[in-house]
Amino acid sequence: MKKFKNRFGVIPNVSDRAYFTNSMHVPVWEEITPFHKVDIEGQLTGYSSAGCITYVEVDSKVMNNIDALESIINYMMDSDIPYAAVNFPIDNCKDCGYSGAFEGDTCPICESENIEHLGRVTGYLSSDVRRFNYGKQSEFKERVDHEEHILI
Amino acid sequence: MNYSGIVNCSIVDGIGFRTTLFISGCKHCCEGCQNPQTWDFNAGRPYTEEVEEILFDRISEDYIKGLTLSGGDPLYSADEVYELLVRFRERFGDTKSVWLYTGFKYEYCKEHFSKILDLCDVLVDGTYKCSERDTTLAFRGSRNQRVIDLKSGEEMF
Repeated sequence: MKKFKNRFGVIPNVSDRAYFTNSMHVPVWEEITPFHKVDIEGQLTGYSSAGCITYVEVDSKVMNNIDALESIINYMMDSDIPYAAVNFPIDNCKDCGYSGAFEGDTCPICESENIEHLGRVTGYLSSDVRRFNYGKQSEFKERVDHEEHILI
Repeated sequence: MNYSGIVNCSIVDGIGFRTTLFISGCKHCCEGCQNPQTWDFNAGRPYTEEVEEILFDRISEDYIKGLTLSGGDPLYSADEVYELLVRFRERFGDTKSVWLYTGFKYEYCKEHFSKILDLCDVLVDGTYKCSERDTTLAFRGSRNQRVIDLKSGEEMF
């Protein structure tokens, strides 16, 4: 991105962040329902031979909602999505072994700070998102859960 | 009746993808409440026909399992909620489910809000208690709260 900016400057929605967004993906910061996102990306992924993973970002509580997982996976299969993942935060405590979504960098059970945040960026899994490079960490931080908020 | 917002495609307010209506106004005032900004009966915006049209429109999608009423506590607006549910069943019949979150207990609801319960499928009951907090529970925040199937009267999780 540094080299790109040196050569082409800051172009809105192209090089104004710390990372690039694949042109066949809805950007991570967009507030959109998972189904609407799949509707859009399902039309585009066929033009790519690689790098076309479709993400759906949800709350960790999806672990208690297998019905929801099934709905979105079936919807993706029906929408010509060749490569897909449902992402939700999983944090592990390396001291007591508790696994779940932590608020911050502390285990909610034993209060240990010896923890790791599992995450996936551009298809790559890391056992601790804090080990990703600056661009990937920025992308990870700017993600929003895929749901729609209405107040009119 | 005011509402504090609608979340469409929620996965934390009941089984499947759901559309959740947060109804303003609550007098339980639990310590550690997730949405204290919804306690005020004047919070948010008026729940109008236009809002209901958007709400029902979202729910009509095949991938939405149904409506969840949350808040606030919907049962402090029992008259309006009853009428809303009658219109909901007129439109959707039994093709969609209704989950209701309340701070009142199931036994109290059966006595005072039976007409509303008759139109719902699942009740999540009881006030939120910090001392009973458990983040691993399905669809509720503290151990004293129950997820009750209203057809059988049995707890679900």
